[in-house]
Amino acid sequence: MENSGNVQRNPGEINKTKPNVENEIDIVLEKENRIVTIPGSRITFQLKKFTHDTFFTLLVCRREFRI
Amino acid sequence: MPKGVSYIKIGNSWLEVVTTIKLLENDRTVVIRNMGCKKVRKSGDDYVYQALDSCDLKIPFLPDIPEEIIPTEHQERLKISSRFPAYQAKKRESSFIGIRGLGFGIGRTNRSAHRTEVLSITTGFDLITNFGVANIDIGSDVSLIIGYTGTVVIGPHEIKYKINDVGNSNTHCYTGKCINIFDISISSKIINSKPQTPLIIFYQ
Repeated sequence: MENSGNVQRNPGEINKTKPNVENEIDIVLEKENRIVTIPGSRITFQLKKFTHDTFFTLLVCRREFRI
Repeated sequence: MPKGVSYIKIGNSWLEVVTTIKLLENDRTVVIRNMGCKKVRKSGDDYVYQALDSCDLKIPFLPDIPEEIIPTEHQERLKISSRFPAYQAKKRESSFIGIRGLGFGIGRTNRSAHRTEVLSITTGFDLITNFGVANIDIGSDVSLIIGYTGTVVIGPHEIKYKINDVGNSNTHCYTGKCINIFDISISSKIINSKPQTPLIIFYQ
């Protein structure tokens, strides 16, 4: 997926909530392994960066990430 | 393909944020939209690669609450014609079942004059339904991958999967077509038929 551009926020920063119908928040996932949680929610995100190039390593990274 | 991935935690499982996920939580609908991931160019000793740097998520909360759905049995065959991450899903009535394949790496093979049979692979894939996610990993210790079966429980479903075929352009060229294939059958049995509020409304 390509860079969407135009979004300038600090890593993990959660934008102020817009009022009304759809409260809407923006999250930037940037720091590896940092858990980001939506306020008032149990929904959590994480970003994992793979620095190795081989396919096998990709699979291994994914497994380690889940532990 | 940048090296890296953004995940959301669903119960005790992980689901990749690809483009859009619609969830139900606390009587509200949460839409998670991946607005784009930035990549950075990095270099190894003698090569360069694209690494994932960050992902921007936009998350609107909608007031609409989906109705309960009656779990539906699925008998599906899903084919992913890529050895890299890809998604396939089938919808039946109001429920869906899908596979997010991470891709696969071929392990042992049995070569003959006319064809190459894949004996083992290393792969990971996620089974996704309205009621949750199961992360499945298959290691290269599986002795016969074609015909390999497994069972997982996701919410009201007991889901059996069977790998029908797997291979890449090196193993599937004997037909004249060089292809990547990950062919899996899924059969879900209902173990709790009560109407339930879905957890995942949409995944793409």
